[in-house]
Amino acid sequence: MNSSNIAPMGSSKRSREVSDFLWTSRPPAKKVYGVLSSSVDDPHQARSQQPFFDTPSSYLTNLTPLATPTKKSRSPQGGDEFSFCYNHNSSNTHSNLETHFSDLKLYIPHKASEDVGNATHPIFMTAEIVEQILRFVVADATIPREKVRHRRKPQAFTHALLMCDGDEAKARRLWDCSTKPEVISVIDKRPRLHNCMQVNKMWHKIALSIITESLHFTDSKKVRKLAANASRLRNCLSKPSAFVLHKLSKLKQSDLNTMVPVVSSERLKWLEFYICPKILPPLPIFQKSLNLEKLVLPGNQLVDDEFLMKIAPYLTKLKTLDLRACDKITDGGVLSITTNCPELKVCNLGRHRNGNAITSVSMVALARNTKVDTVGVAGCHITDAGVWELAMHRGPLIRRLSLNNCQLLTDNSLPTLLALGYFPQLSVLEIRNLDRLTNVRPIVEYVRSKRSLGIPVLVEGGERLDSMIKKFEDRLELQESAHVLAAFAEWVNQDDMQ
Amino acid sequence: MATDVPSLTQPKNTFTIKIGLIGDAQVGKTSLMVKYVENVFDEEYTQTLGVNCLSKKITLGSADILFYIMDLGGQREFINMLPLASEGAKAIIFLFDLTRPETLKSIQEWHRQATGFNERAVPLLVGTKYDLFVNLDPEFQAQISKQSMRYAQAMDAPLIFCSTSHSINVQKIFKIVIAKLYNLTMRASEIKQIGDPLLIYKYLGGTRRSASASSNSPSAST
Repeated sequence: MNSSNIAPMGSSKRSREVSDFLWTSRPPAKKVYGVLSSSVDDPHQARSQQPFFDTPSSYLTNLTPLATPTKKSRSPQGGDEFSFCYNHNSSNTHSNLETHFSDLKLYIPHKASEDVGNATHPIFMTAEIVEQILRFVVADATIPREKVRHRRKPQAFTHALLMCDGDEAKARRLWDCSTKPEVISVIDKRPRLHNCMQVNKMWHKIALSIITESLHFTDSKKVRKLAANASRLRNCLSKPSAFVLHKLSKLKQSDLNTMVPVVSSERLKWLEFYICPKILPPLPIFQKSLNLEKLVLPGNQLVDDEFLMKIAPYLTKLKTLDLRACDKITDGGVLSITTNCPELKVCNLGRHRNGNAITSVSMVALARNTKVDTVGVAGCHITDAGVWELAMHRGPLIRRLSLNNCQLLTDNSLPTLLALGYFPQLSVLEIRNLDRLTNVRPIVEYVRSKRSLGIPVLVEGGERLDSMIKKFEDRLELQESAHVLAAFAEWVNQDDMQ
Repeated sequence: MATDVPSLTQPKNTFTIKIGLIGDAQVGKTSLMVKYVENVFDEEYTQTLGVNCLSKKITLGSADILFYIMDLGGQREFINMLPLASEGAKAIIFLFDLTRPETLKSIQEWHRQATGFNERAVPLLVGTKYDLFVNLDPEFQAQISKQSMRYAQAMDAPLIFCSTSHSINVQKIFKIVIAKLYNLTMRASEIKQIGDPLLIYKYLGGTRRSASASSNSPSAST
């Protein structure tokens, strides 16, 4: 939508007044029927004065019979209205719904000179329809997120080669990609409704309420701006279902605190501070947002056990918890979460520092008290016993396990458990840098049996384990093809059955 | 807890092998296919319109073989469907009628055309209606036999004389396909005596490809 196109329409005073009068001062839904049913004279009168006035209602009556036949009784009058307004577009007075929509234009330039009233299609003056259209426009808009990588970076060129099955060109590309410093760009290709706010008051109101249904920021200035205007705008904003801050290192806690009334509500489901190390979600948000399902605070240096213990009682509906690289958290904080969040399904505690703060105690608590199917404890001091506990309680439903850099793990947990079939649903397994893991046979056999059922399984083993897995896979393959060839050879030498 | 844990299933592969049957009209392509797959022989002639196909599964211990046999109508008008029968085929069986020398001559053209679409397939040269052929003039038999051997040499194709109605060498054809595809040693003795149902395969059809089961396994489906 181009603003230059919109400008003439906005400048046509009459249409603006009419629209405001019609659609913002009164509840729109009632208005449509009110015009039609209250008195027959009223719309005619209105038409003689302002040809534009009645168009929306008559237009609606023409639209509705297709869906709701009961309204057909009113259509004769509406039908006249319709032909009056529209036969300049097509001589067909009985045009159907499809042709209506094919003609839609927010602004028709060549008509504007002769009759300003007909310049805007009435469909764009009906609040409900505008809302539907705008919602459709932003339907696939997504909140900026961390780029999801299908596979982790290779550890060396030889590893890249391994990951690409020996395809050197591909491996070279992969390796080059992963050695270059990552260009982090949150390119926003999402359709934006901000232009739509400039159309007129009605559009402004609708667009604003849709925009604020999910608040996400990648710029701290904008947060500050909204925070400054928070009290003034309060009534125009919707209560957001998502509040996402993406890499805002400059934002101050005081700015954030003024946002509390804007953000917190029963509607809030998703709260994310992605790498915002210096701010902490204010406690009142949690106290007022009891339906929170997703809490994402990776890389936060302020989140500690005390904070988790304070917010845990309000997180009874929490399903996803991402506390990657929150080094201050220890078993105690995790314990308070697990005892308060029975619905928890995804929990990530991965870290590079302070790994000893998270031990099997956390694992046992997660296994016993929650419904986890995705567990990330990369770099934590988890022992074999912790993994066993998880397998015993949650094993049949576990989907993803990230155990990278868990140096205490040995062959006694994961390989044994896989061989015994304790993780039948496992589809992603991350086991990089597990130096004490040597038995890859159960892993390979598990992956092969899943693959034969058409279920892909991703195993990230790092260079050492990946190459072990590959070697073992090749050996199995060789064995199997020898078996197959033996069976074939036996068959070709059988006596013919006639 | 362990009771509701499903045990690992052992993967079993199915090797799908597409075979094209090609040759002049009325040499017995459809008959051969039907005989092999359903083990019945029908005296009556039914013209194949376009392409027929049947599949036969051989269940073996560690893998299955699925023969997917496509039989192309022999009339010249169906030549445009040749790609259908030959592309992607692991083996192409060229058939001629032992009692009609002109059908052997046509093999040249069939072979040229089919290899244009698929030069990796194992070719086989199969003479049909041996049961009728064996009653003909010995001179004629010798001539046809020698001629077909020369063709087999030129095409580097195993040569088999078969009889669909009398069940002679029908199974052998498909076993030779597998033996050639996977470089297996087949112990069945060759038959080279003119007048007998020829079975010459040991040194033919092995040069083009040396495919092993493992290199073919990507095509395997479960």
